[in-house]
Amino acid sequence: MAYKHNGEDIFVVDSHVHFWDASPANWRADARVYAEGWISCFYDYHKNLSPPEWVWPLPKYQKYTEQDLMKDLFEDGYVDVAIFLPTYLKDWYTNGFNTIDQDAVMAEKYPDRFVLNGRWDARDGEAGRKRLREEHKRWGFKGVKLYTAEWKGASKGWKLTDDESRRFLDLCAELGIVNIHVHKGPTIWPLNRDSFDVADVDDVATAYRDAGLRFIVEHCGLPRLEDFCWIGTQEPNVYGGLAVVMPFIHARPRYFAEVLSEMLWWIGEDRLTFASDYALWSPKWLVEKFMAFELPQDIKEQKGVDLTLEGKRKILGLNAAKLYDLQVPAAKVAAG
Amino acid sequence: MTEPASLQEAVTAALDTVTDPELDRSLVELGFAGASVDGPGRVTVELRLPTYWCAPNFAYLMVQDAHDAVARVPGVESVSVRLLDHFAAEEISSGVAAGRSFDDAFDELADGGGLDALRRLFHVKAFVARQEPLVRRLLRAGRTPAEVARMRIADLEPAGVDGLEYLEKRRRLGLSIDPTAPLAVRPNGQPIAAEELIPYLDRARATRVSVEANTTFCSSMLATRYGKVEVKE
Repeated sequence: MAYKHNGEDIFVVDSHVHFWDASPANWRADARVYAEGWISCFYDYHKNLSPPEWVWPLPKYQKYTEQDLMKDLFEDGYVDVAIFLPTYLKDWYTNGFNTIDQDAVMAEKYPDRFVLNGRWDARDGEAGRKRLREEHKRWGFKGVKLYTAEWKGASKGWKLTDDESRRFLDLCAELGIVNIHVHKGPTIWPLNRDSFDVADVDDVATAYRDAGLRFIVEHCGLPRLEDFCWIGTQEPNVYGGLAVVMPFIHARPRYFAEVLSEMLWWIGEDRLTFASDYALWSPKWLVEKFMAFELPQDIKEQKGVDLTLEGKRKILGLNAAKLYDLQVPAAKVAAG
Repeated sequence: MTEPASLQEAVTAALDTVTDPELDRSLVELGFAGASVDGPGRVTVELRLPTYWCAPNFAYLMVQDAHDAVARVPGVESVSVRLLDHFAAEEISSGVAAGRSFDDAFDELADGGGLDALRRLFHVKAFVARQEPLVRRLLRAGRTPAEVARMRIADLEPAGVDGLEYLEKRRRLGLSIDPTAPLAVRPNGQPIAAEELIPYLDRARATRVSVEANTTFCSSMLATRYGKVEVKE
């Protein structure tokens, strides 16, 4: 179902969605506590920031169906195209949490609806690069999701600036996988430093700018928003992914306004992309509230920024459409 | 012998001085921690965090600070700090109990640099986040950036709550709070020139928004996770 504003269609790209299996049957026997801890944490995020009528029961949240996915995104959720960002976590989930293979089933069945992204882990080295080549040959990725805080045996994370990481980035540039989605997390080596630090994004964004890579920082660098803002002004190929920022619009609208206005001030409306992080949250209410949202007057005056209909269109879909070469129907291109 | 009721009060007051290093708010105020006197001179502190995955370095600082603050209370003979429902609860609780540093407790997962740099980084953020609204207030009151750049601490009269908080964060960074010292300084103590003031404040604002957004999110996540948290008084 299309979102209409004054009779005009709005093109919506949900730039960060999952089709995960976190049901107990998929918890590894040697890692049940982590597997449960991961999805319970997601569920708390979901409960904390969703409107009450959008809160699912836990068993559904742990594993939802193809029907849920299609209905919530496309029938009800106004989404035209959704971008899968896989998250493996194979140390905890037997078949992985949300793998390329799981997503590919949907992407192959509904090719007009989904963009299938790849992933890699710098610690996989040459074998990982071989696999990326094979997967790319099969699916033709335009982007990858990198989760630098993923556990792997004794390791608790890696940095984009690691030598092995640079070899993967070289390969992405070679293969034309240009959209690098980066997600920071709470555990990364060395554990005593700030694991949410986005300084490594700064380094690689500079190094790979001429090679055409774009770095989409998921959650706009939250909880290190200010560092992300600074990097975003320095590096024209750095984008802010609004997953996790979006749902603040309901539960904490003042902070949503504060955070979004900072993004608009530092990064600008051309480099922000809407995302629900489904099934963390559902796009329907996010799109509705975002289209109805206006920056408070005091924030507009203090910061000298505004969120116009044109800006909303870019953030909701047109920016991501450019990143992923998506065809935008003529009726949806028009600025309001 | 200390009266149990007053020891309980003293212990809670001590715990109230311990802050979450990232949010820079009291653990008691945030609902993260509570202390109880279980026996003569014996205290248990329970620490609950907003998620199972809260960064272990921050958790370690909080457990360690809570342990040290409570142990200093006269009449306290033993302190046990229990970090609850956290992926690294075991390493952290036992590490602090044994008096180990973070680097020792996490051995090969840390680089030996300790947590001092991390703590300082967040003291800087707290300083900057308090400084920005204070200086904006002075500008709104009609002062030019050049005038603000010339101000001394003594010119902040009356200091106001925001002024006193700023000076406290400034003192904690090891910067001068002498009445003759320049009022607007960078975290390294260098005065901010008039023409640099507005760009400096713009960056500071992003820091403040980030800290505030994290605080509101973390405290509401705690409420979601535990319902209404009972802080034992």
